Amino acid sequence: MSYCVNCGVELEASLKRCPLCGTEIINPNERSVPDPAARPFPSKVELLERRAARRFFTVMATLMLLIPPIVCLICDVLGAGAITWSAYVIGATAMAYVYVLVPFAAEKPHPWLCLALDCAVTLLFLYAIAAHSAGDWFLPLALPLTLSAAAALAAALLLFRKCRAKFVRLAGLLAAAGLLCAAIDLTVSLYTGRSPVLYWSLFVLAPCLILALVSLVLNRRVQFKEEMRRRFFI
Amino acid sequence: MSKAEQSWMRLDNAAKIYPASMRRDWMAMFRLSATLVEPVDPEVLRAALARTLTRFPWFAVRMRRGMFWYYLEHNDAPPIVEEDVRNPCLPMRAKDSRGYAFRVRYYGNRIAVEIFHVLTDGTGGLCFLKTLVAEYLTLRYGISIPRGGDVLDCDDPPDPGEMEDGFLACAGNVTRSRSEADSFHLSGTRERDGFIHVTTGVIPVDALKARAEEKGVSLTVYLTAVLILAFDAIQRRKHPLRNTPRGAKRLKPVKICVPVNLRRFFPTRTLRNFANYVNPGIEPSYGVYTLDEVLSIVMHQMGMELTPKVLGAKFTTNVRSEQNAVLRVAPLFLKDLAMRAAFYMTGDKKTATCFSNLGNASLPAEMALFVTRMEFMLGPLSRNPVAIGTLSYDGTMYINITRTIRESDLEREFFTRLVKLGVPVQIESNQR
Repeated sequence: MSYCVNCGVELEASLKRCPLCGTEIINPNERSVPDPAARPFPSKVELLERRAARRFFTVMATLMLLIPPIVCLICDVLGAGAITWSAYVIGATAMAYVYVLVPFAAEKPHPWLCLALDCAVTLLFLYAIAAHSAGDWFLPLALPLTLSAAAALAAALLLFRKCRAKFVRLAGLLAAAGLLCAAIDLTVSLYTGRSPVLYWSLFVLAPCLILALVSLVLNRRVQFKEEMRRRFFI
Repeated sequence: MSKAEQSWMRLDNAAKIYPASMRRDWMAMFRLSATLVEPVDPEVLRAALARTLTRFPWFAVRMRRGMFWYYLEHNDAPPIVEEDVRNPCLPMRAKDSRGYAFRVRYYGNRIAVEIFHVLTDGTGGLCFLKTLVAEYLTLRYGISIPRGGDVLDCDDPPDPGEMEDGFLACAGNVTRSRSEADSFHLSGTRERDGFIHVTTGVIPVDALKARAEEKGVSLTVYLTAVLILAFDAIQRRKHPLRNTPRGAKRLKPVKICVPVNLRRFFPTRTLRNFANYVNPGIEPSYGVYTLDEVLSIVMHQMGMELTPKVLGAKFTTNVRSEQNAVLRVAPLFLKDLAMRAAFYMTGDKKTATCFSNLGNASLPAEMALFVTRMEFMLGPLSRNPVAIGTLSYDGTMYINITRTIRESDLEREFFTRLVKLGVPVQIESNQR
């Protein structure tokens, strides 16, 4: 028979820690190991079914997502005799599937893997459209735009995983958004044959960078005050 | 009663909220258990359960969705008798329970019944458990147990009076507003896997009774007051900014929901849901209370509310909303949405926890020889992380605290307070 030194309650023999405060029970007089059958509860733990619901929902959503492309495919083939416009619907549905359902189906989605996958399917879909419509815009326009968007997202992701301070996160997001706009501006300028300088994106980039600096300063303020107090206390 | 009448029944007035408010990870469950002198024989237990169900037809049901209301349909499948688990009172899934809204579990010497609140309340559940244990002992040891009181005779036909909706039968004309202030709540880290912590405090009734009689109050009032003080202390410790003269007005009221057995006040034999509640509590922003002050507050609040007049007006409000013509013709999915919203906005918000004291379980002497212990446990509440159920048997009180968060502040605060008041406490737990 042991008592918790911290709480003053008597503890049932099979307990290893006090259930109230977590203090380990050490009683030098009682070294016998209690009979496991004498415990008040069995060792079997019933689990809530979480995975099953997730899997069920994924399967249902997959089946639902199959409906629009199949209907479009049938209409297209019946009307035109070949796959023409329905290819866009099929591609877009596949992209939506990768964007939403793949991370949902995984219990703990891997963020970098998801980002890489999303970037890859976006590029693939755009390339397919360009090839299908004989456009020349994939290499000069779609590829750099997609990659710079992915780079901005990757930077934000890295920042959110590494840094906990809210103001630093905000500063990083603002800077990434401003730089992304600049990249878009440059790419479009090059594609349309203008000289590669910043046009409209200056008006986005400048306030973004200034606000980012402001939030960095705000973040330093607490540390700054603490530092002053340390150095100048009387 | 004809076969057709027996084949289905309506939910009683209080039960209607439970199916509407249940979630995948939560159902309003409670559990009653009896510990015998020898290990339980599952086969005998199955046979005893089959006999008991003939006397309790409102347990032998599965819940179904109608167009406008849920209803209970007679269920012929063999009921669930399974091994106990470490984390009791998890929600039941119809496919695992063959449609039943209760399950019987055994572990070592113990028989436990876990019941979804839609079937009955604690008092009705205790009657079911006592009858089940009596049947088990009769089949296992061939003893004869005098039936009467809470131990029903399974050779008798079911009594329609035990199946009636006591609320409908006893409702008056005047209703009473349900609105009141929100209470303080515990917060903490939810267990990711839904594990439910159970801490049992085993207390000699005499010691507690001596303390309560010293103050001239009942056991329920005494324990409720200690519980209120425990919550008050936790609120002041967890929110140091509120615990200053300037921040005191932000201290939230601490109120405890204490279920009341209405059979004490109204003439009905029903064994389905027939309980209401009172929410005694204090206003911590007015200052720091002593135990004597809280005891007096709780005693008088309960004295004012525990009269047939007030209780009747309270449940008449629920009966009248059930009888509202617009609500009645609304399809079930709309009712579900409305009731879910109402439950979310009122339900658990008004109180810090639920403290259900089923009182003293007495058994016929022939049965008591074989039963060493009886316990009552509330399943977790919808949003409050702790719930407390107590039952006394054979001079010992078992206080079961069920918790869904990791932090055990309330248990520690409550039981150490009892120890300081001179009540010895023995602790058991399902810790991993």
